[in-house]
Amino acid sequence: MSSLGLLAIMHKLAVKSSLVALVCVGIALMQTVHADVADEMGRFQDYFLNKHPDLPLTKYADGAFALRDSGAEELVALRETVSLEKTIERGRALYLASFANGKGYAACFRSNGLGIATDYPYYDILARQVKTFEMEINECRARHGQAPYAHGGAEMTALLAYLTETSRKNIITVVIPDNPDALAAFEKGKQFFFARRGKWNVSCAHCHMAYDGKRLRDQTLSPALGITSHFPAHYAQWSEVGTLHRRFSDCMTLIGAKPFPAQSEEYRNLEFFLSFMSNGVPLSGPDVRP
Amino acid sequence: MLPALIGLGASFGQAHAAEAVNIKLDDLAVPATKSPTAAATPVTPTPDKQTKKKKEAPHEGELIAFDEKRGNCLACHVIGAGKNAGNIGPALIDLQGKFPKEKQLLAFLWDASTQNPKTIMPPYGKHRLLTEDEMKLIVEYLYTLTSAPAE
Repeated sequence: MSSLGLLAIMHKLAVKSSLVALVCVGIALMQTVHADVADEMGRFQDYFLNKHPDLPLTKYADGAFALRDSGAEELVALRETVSLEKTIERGRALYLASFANGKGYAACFRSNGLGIATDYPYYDILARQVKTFEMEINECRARHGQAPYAHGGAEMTALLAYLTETSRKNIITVVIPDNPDALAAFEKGKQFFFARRGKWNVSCAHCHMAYDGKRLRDQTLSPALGITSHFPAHYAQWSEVGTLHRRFSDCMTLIGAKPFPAQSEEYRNLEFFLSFMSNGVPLSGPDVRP
Repeated sequence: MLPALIGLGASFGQAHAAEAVNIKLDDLAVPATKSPTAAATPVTPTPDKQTKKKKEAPHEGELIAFDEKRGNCLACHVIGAGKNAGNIGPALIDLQGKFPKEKQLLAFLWDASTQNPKTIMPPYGKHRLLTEDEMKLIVEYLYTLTSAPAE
C-alpha cells in the first residue's frame, strides 16, 4: 500500500482519540517520512524536552504559558477576560450558510470539514506546494463560484476559528511525503526558521528555540515546539482573533524585517516546518495570548 | 543536536552578513577580551557624574540605550533603573570588569558575532543601527553602572 493511501484511510477513520492518533502518527511517520526529517523532528523535540524536563509534549499547546511559574492560572484568567465565542459563532454561521449554488464547505472536505484541522498543512505533490486549510477554503469557494475571502481577513479568521474549534485537542499529525519537492519545501521552511534577518539580525530560532522562556521586555518567548497549535488566536495587540501568518508578520516587523504576505510560499513552508516539528502536540486553538 | 540546528542558523547569519553592509572596522578592529570571568574592577564614577545623574538629566548614553528606536537595550537586558526590561542577555553591570577598555566594549557593540557567531546581540555598528558617537555615549554610560540594579 502506498504511504499516501494509508494516510487517506487514516483520515477517513476521523480518529478522535489522542492515543489512537498518536499511534497513527507513529505509523504514518514510519511509512511516509524520509528518515532524515523524522530524525530531525526527534532531535528538535528532544532539545525542548531536555531543556524543560518537567514539561510533557502535550503541554506545549499552552505556548509561553507552559514555561511560566503561574502560567496555567494566567492562561485560565486570560481566557475569562477574552471572549472567543463571538468569533467562533460567526465562523459557524459562515460555515452553515449555503453558497449560491446551494452547496457548502461540506462538499469540499472530508468529514464535512469538521474536526479535520490537523490535516493541514500538507504537501500537495500534484500542485507541488504546501497547502493550508486557509488556501483550500478559498479553493472550495472558487470551485463553487464564490469570491475568495481575504487571507487573514475577518471572515476567513472566523471560519478558521470555528473549524479549528471542532478539531480542538486533536493531535498535530503533519506528514512529509518521501518526495523531493516536499522535502525541498520542508528545507525552505527550516532555512527560514534559522536564518537571521532584518535590522536586528535575529532568526526565529534565536527567540523561540535558544531563548524560549526568557523575556523580551515583559513578554515571555514561546517555544517553537507547538507554536502553531493555538491559532487562530486572540492577541491583546490586535484586540481580535487573528491567524498564524498574521503573527508571523508581527515577528518580522518586530525584528525590523519586511513581512511576507499571508499565505505566501515563504510562510506556508515555515508553517509546514513548524507544524511537522510540533507533531504530537494537541491543537488548542482558537485560544488567547497576551 | 542543538548545536547542529543553531549552527545552521549561524551559517545563514554569516551569509546574510556577507551581503549586508560591509564596513571596515578600522580602529575598532581590536577584538574584545573573551573572558568575562576576570574579577570585576569597579570603577568609581566621579562625584560630579553621580550628582549629574541623580539631580539632573540622565546620561545621554542612557537615553540612547533606553530608546526603543535606537539602542533598545532594555528589550533584552536589565539596565540600572530601566523599566520593562527583558532577561535574554545578562544584566548590564560592572561592564568594565568584562571589557576593561572602552574600545573593547565598543567592538562588542559594533559586532558581537565576531566573538560568538550564534549571538542574538544585534550588530549595532555593522548594521548601522547606531552611529559610532552614539555607541561611545552608551559605553560611557554603561561604565557608570557599578552597583546592583534596582530590580
